[in-house]
Amino acid sequence: MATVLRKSQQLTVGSPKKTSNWSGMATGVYTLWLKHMRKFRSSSMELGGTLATPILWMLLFGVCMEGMVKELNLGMSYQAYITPGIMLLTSLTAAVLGGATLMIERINGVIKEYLVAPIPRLAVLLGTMASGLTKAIIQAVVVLLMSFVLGVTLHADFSGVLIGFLLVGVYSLGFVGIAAAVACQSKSMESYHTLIMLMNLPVLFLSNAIYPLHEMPAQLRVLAYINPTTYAADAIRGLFFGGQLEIGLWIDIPVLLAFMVAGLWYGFRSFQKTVANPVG
Amino acid sequence: MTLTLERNPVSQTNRREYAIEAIQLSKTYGPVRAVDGVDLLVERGQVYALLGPNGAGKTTTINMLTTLTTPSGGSARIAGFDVVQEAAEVRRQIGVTFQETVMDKSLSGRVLLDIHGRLYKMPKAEIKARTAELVRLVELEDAIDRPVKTYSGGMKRRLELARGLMTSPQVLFLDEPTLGLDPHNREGIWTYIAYLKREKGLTLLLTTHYMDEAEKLADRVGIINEGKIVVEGTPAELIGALGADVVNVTGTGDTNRFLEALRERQWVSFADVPQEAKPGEATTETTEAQEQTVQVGLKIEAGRSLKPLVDLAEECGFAVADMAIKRPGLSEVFFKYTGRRLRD
Repeated sequence: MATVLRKSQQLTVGSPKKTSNWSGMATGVYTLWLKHMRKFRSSSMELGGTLATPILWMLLFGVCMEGMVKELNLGMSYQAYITPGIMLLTSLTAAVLGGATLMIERINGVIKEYLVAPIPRLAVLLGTMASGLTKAIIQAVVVLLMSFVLGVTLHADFSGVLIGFLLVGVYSLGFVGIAAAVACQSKSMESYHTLIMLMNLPVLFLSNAIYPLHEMPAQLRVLAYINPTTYAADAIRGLFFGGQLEIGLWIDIPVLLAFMVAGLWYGFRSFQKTVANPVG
Repeated sequence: MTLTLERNPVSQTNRREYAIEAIQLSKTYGPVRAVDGVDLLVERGQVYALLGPNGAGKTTTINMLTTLTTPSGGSARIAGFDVVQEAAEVRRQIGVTFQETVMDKSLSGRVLLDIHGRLYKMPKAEIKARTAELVRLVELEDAIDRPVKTYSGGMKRRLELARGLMTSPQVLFLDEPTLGLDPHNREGIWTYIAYLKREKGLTLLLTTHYMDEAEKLADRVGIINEGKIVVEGTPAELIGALGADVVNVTGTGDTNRFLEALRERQWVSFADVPQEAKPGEATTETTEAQEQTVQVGLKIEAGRSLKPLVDLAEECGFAVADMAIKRPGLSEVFFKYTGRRLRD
């Protein structure tokens, strides 16, 4: 045993620096994040594709509904009213696409390059989550800027905007976790895309994203209360546009944090189960 | 060209050590024993070819040696490090290219090499220098800044090889390095592999189901079938164990007399008219002027037996029209030990 140890030491002389687990983790997470962001930048499809839906929502739906909902007394323009929901929908889609990255890399084998590299395996998950989160925030910002073009104005100070975007991040991370979990288990791209389609519309409709909770039928309102989008839209509406909160930040924030923890935990557990036996 | 592939020059005291040592390595998936007690010893600087048909356990073995899959039984050490206990250290010592091309096609070759270097914490300047060297080695200078989706199959393989070498590994694993490549590109890859072994003293483990590849590149060959290594040795040993050469003598004359005379000779292991070559029983009996092929198995090298063969044929009244030497290859070795033909 002693000779074996000595041999190991000789062999590492001059080899890449012996790194602690944490430093390997940081390297791994950053490198994967960097790679995914480079891919994101080089693929106009991903950016354009995710932004097309919110643009249509805001231009067509928002503009048309504007005139019809005057009597609802929302305390802000309808365009402003739906902006938080559209932002959330966009970041949700970005988060789910981030999960798709993990799945594509798992199915086509790219993940093997990471798994034989001297980085902890968890770094693969965290790197993917980090890039998914970054994409989600970037797109949420783009949607907000677009709403300005459509005449929406902010009623918030800097800290309000900051907390608002933090909440977009918290909300996105919850879905990044769920997306990663599904990505670890899906057998094919098709099943994954079906899931995105199934998730998108209910998340929007079964929430207060495009109409106030008190206007909803009671049964649907119950469903809206299980939807994290409801809490995120409520909080952001208040933080960005100074609107009257239907629920209140003291409930919104803990619920969103709990959702994030649950989503991340689900993603983590699923990753740990499948990563021990990668495809192939 | 000055490639510095070994950042860890092997010290004199380590010279006799094994770069790869696997003892009774096994992997079971449910009831399936994908790898069933493989023993593998590869000396430093050697090229070892794991040869076998699809599904024989080659890739699973590589996956265990490269820490991708945890063994169900047995143990393995790479450059002295245990693949389970010291997986992180093993990963620093190895380079791997996988069976299927695994690359992001939308990124350029240079970006992929950069990302790879970063994963191993290589300093930026070193990444740059090594990229330049390796791109020159695998002759991708013109293509390196283009997206990988514009590459041909051979170019992708070359880029993968460069990526595997990026971090100056001690041991390089190549899973089917020339699968699906045209002859020109295969020869190219062989040239690089031969260069790495000759000039850099790199230890290589490659899997293949191409006989000629193993014969050409490997110092040692292990034939794997149904998760077990059925036979192992140098290509020459394995082929030698089959007996020496076979000579086909084609001509006209008294075939039967020639055959009888051959069978009496010490240096002949067998002599026969192959079944498919017999035109029919009737003509075998006669001594008509019809060409026949006599297959002679030799106990000595073919080169030294041609003269005696011709002399003997003439003595027996068999006029030789043509002679063909057939050397057994690893294909025959594989067939002998597994009872299966490899598609070559």
